[in-house]
Amino acid sequence: MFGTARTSEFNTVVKHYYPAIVFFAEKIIDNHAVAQEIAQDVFVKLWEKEQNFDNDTSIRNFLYLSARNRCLNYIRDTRRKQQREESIPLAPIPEDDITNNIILAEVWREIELAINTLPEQCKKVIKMTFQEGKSTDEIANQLNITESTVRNQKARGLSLLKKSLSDKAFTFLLLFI
Amino acid sequence: MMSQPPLELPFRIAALVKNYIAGNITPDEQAELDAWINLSEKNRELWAEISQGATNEWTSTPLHNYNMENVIGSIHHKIKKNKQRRTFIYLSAAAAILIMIAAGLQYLKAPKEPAMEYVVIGNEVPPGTTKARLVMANGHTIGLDKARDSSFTEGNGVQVQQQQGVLSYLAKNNTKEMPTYNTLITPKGGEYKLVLGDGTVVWLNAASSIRFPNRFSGNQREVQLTGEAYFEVTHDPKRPFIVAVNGTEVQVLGTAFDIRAYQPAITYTTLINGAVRVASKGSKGQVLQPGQMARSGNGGLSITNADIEQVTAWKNKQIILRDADLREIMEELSRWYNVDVVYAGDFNTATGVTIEISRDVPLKKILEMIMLTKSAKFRIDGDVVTVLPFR
Repeated sequence: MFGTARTSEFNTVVKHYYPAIVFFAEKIIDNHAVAQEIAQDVFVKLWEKEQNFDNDTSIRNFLYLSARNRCLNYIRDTRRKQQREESIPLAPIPEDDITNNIILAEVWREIELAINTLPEQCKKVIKMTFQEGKSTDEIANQLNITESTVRNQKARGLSLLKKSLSDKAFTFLLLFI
Repeated sequence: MMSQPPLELPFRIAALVKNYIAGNITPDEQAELDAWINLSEKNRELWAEISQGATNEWTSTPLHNYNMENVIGSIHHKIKKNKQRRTFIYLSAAAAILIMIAAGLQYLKAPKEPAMEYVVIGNEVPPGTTKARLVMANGHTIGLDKARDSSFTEGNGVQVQQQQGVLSYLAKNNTKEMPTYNTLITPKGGEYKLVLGDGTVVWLNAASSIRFPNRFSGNQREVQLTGEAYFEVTHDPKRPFIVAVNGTEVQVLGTAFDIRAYQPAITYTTLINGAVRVASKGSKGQVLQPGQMARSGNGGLSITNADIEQVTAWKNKQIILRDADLREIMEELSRWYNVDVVYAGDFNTATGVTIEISRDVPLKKILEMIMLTKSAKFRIDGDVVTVLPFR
């Protein structure tokens, strides 16, 4: 059915972009709860605006631009309130920061995506090693595998990760040609 | 006013960084990346932040791990709500036209017998309004309503402003005086909005009260609640916000939620977004996910999925009760319209009633809607509503 296909395409977009858009918004407004709220509203708008979700470039542009606009609105509103109460003069938000925050969000997003495409056991070993800071024998114990398997999986994970990142970067560059 | 930044640049730089990490960056691309890095101090800082990832072989990122099923669920909920709002507007317009046509037909037909069946007998009762009473530490009481704006200074130098039905405490960090405790009380048929010293906003529903310090000091922010309130708590991880209600403690980490505690033994806590921990006094309690409701009381605690629209309807000036018992509905109406309810008969089987309506309309209109469900008839005498069997 058309409706369900559209929904599942949309859900994939949410999975791929949501953490990065929250990260991006939080960098601008420094409030995690509001950043989540803003990210969700941006996806609601995306659903209402787009017929389908296959043009990655236009989706990405839309998500970052509307998140940015909503963040600036939020800052303007809260500052206005503050200014009334404490008469602090308003400072503009430099556009440089927005550009650099998009770069950060996009780099981390691609890395997360690459980690998430690793085979299950590889992914576990990589996440436990680098994100949870666990040692080889701790991981071996917890996953009930030998230490040499942990070391192999780690090496395999890292090389797959580089490969997956470079494949992604490649298809990504095609969009600009 | 808002200029759009050129988006090719950040995406292009992100792509170069990815090639760099993957180890397949070409000399030309490397030169392009270097040129960008050296363009400004900001760019060098950003590059420093990214290259910290190298110590972890680029495998850890500052992105949070979300429960994506919950996130997707809450986005689809918002989509549905937006759509319903639009449909509702179309339907309202369509209904208005139908009513005009029907009225025209009625007029032409000149009915022989008036259609009395769904009309409530008795006087009109207006809806509740913005009003409350503020009891201060020194025992003084101030009546608050929308009509009178005022501003005053409390004993220890805290500025208070009362404007357009909102009571605001202005934070002042330099005073050394001890905070004093105030209580804001809404009667039946009243509601009020309160802004605490830390910027937290509290909507107080009818027949409720909140006790709060006129300024938060120390390492936590604590208030006490009876009745129902909706909170939007200012994020401050260093000073947790705690709501104490009926032996339940709700610990907040920067968030929006509703607490309903009209029955002394049961407290309902519904989380809209963010995170809260609900605990019976002395226990460790449980953390709610957005969209969940905790029912606590008598030492027990259970969690279900909430109908957010229904729970927060009052804050949006609506009454929404789905699949409710008649007695529950009458209880809600009694608090907002400040009426007492008398039952002429046994209405325990009157269940499964759904109403959705603005709470700015006169009481008669709502009772007539309920009559259409054929669950009861009503008579209004002053501030007493009598519920009568339908047949």
